[in-house]
Amino acid sequence: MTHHLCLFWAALLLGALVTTLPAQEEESGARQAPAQVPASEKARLAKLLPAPRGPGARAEEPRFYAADLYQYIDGAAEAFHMYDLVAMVHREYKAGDAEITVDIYDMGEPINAFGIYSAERSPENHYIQAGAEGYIDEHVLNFLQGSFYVKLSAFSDKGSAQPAMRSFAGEISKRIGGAAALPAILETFPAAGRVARSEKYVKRAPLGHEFLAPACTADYRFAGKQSSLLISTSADAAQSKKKLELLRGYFAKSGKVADEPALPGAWRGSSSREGETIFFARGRYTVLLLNPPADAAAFLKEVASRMKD
Amino acid sequence: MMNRRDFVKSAAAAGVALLGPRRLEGAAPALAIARYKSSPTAPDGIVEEARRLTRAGIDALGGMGRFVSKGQTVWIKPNISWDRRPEQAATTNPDVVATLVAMCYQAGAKRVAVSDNPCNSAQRTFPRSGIQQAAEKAGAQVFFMDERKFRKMALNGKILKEWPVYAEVVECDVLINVPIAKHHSLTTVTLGMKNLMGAVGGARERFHQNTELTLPDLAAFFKPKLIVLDAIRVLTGNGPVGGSLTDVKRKETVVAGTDQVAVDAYGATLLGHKPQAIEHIVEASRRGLGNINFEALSPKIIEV
Repeated sequence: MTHHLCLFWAALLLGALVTTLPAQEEESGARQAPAQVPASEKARLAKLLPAPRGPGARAEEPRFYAADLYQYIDGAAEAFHMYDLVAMVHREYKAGDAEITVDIYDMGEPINAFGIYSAERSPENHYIQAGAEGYIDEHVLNFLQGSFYVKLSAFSDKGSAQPAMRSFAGEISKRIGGAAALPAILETFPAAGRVARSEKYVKRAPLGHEFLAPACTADYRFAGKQSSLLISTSADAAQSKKKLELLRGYFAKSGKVADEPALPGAWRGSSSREGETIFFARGRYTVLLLNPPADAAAFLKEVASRMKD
Repeated sequence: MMNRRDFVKSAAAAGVALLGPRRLEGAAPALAIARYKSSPTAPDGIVEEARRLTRAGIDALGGMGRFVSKGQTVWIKPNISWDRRPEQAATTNPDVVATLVAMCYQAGAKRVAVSDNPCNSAQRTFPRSGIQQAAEKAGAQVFFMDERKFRKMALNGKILKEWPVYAEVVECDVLINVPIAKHHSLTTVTLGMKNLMGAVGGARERFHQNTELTLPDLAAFFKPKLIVLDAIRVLTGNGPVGGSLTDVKRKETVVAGTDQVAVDAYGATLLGHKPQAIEHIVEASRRGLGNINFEALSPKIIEV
């Protein structure tokens, strides 16, 4: 079931991604990364790069990418643009026996950095204390801090490359500075039952509905049942109510919708695509709980109580 | 003037048109799926698995002699696009490539070339993937593509009318496409048709805007004689670049076929997708480039 939920969210993320390809970026209102990286941004990113140190250490000239990120990572660049990439810097190092690649992505805002970070991480990764959060395995160390998403890749023919990656991560984290914390919106998601590291920030077309953007999501397990919580953020309560009406209209057209008696003001919809869903609006948030458990009302009341207007 | 490769391609197409998608009794199979019964972890074990599966897949199709004749030049096109080691499943298994090189020479090939137009620096990807060393050891000519050797060619596709193509790829007698099965953040999956992007140059980001049309354009132009899909390790997430071993799953499979749509269709199922949900596979099938219903080809299944 976990595998099917993962495929479900991956498919929806892909759907959101495909709807925001460069040919359609203007319609979706996404900010376009600059064609050339401005000198000021280059200087800002360059300051985050560690200097090569140690005997025999060397580094290649840094390379900067923005709209041309595809030249470095091909189709994977589209996901970064979907989260409004500002620019990135790439540098290759040789440190001792290790060869290390440093990629630092400036995502403009912490929530965007969390967005791309959360899209790439998996609950199965081995998590470590790096920045606000990070994970490591044999050849990669990725972490999130402020508006930056840092990706390290390393290889060593003599032993593990992990110590070198950890050292670089520590140095870069110090240079980024500032508070290392995950986005505050995640505090709205109750901890009990939440699948660790399933939280995501979806900037475009959550569940395939552009009007729900942007939204945060997380998976839950309640007594063996898998559910998903989605919280869409609006500018104000009026916009949130409008989203609610659009949802009601969608379920009325594609399936069925009725009052949710256990939760005044909430609705219960069902459709072949979303399945069973309870949804409501509170302040500037629109909340959906997909595949709700039997005692969903209590859970959703707690969600509502954690919302900060 | 039609060269030898074009003549063979045309004759083969005519043959397929006559035979249709179903394999007639006694006709050579179009699809073979070789599966390993165990899942070795030791490096030597994985090398042995790659060799045995590759040989089994090709032998099930009738042997390499069906595709390569004495004195021919062969281009093997693996995925060497990323600065990754084999266990990260972002590039083709080097021992699948090396086994194919050896089989081509055993079939009488005069020259076997192995190359790719990678996304990361070739100076890194070729050795890091292990393909450079393995293919050279098997006798292949492994080289970095020379920018000056891309020539604008008429692809006459729905989107791609003209495009820079690496000349040697089309000048060789036999093209063997050797992708690895991976998740792709844009196209859902990257298999054989997507792998052909490594045979062209130019502003390849253009392909990303209509991959459901541009990938079949490539497939229609190149029409590889043989496709060997490495699915020993597959990348199930964060493709095409990958990196984390968490995203790698063992499928212990090598797929060999002459129908590039059928190979991609089966490959999609290994990644958990219905081929009918993958737009470029559907479009390629619609254009008659192959059969999305791979079961209709009565694939030969070999347990090794």
